[in-house]
Amino acid sequence: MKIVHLSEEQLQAYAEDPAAIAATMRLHADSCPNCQDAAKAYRIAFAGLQQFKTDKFDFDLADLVLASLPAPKPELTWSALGIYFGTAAAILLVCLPVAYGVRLISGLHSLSLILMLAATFMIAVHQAILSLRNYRRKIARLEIY
Amino acid sequence: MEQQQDKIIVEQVLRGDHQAFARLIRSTEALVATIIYKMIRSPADRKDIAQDVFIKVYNGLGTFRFQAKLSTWIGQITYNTCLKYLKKQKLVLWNEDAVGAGAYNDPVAPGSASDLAEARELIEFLEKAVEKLPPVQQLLVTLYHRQELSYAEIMTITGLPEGTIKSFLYRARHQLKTSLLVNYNPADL
Repeated sequence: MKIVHLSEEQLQAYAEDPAAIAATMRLHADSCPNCQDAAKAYRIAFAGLQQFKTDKFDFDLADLVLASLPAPKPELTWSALGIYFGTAAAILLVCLPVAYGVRLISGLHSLSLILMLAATFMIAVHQAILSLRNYRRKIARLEIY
Repeated sequence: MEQQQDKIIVEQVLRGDHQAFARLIRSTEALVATIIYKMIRSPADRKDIAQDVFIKVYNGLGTFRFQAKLSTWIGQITYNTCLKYLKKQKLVLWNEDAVGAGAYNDPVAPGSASDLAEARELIEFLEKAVEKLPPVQQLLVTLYHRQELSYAEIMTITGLPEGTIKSFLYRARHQLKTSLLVNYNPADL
């Protein structure tokens, strides 16, 4: 009677899990020295593969990647929210009286309006020049200007 | 459970938490290194590819739909990035001519695995035998046996059909077994 050994595929399956092959083949494998030797070699190869050293990078990958990413967006904090609301309120406080004032001056004669705007402009320019002089004096005192 | 953890970390990274992304890199670095080391020979290129992989992950995280594990998705990006690199360099990951090349044609000094030193020697022997396999077989054997990934996960990463994966694994294991039996006495193993 011709002996039928396990095929390579069956041997691999048997080495991984004896229950993975048909019962008749398992019965043969359990008692056949040839199949046992081959299955043992497979088991040793599989066990050896599990113990291989892990491949590792010789540099800090996380640092390398994080350095090339865009800076994180700042989180919205309560203080930042307070600043936003404060600014919005300040703009409203300025805009409302201006809007109200425009209504008031709309009834004025155009010459009076030009005189008023010219005076306002002159005052603004004067204030700007004063501020600039003041700023230059402060900078000169620091001796870096 | 793992999907829940994946969701948490993805949300953190999408909110701009770079430290969460650093944790993600560290937890998946081993898989990425395994794939890159098996597919790319040049150490300098490995560094660039590894960096490129995680920049792609960072930019593509918003499109991740949790159909696979996050680590598997990152493995897939790594595999595709390596393939693209090989294509650019006009290199191939595998060809049918190379698949038959035998590790067992190059015998190493025979020995016995009866004690720890010899067991170490046996592992070194196997490592050398694996290095002689075609890169795709090296990769599949490592992913299946060392990283203990399932066929489904390997399919997702490589895009290869299950039959092809099994066929490559079969050839690689057969080669390793033959190599072992040529170099070691079965009774001494």
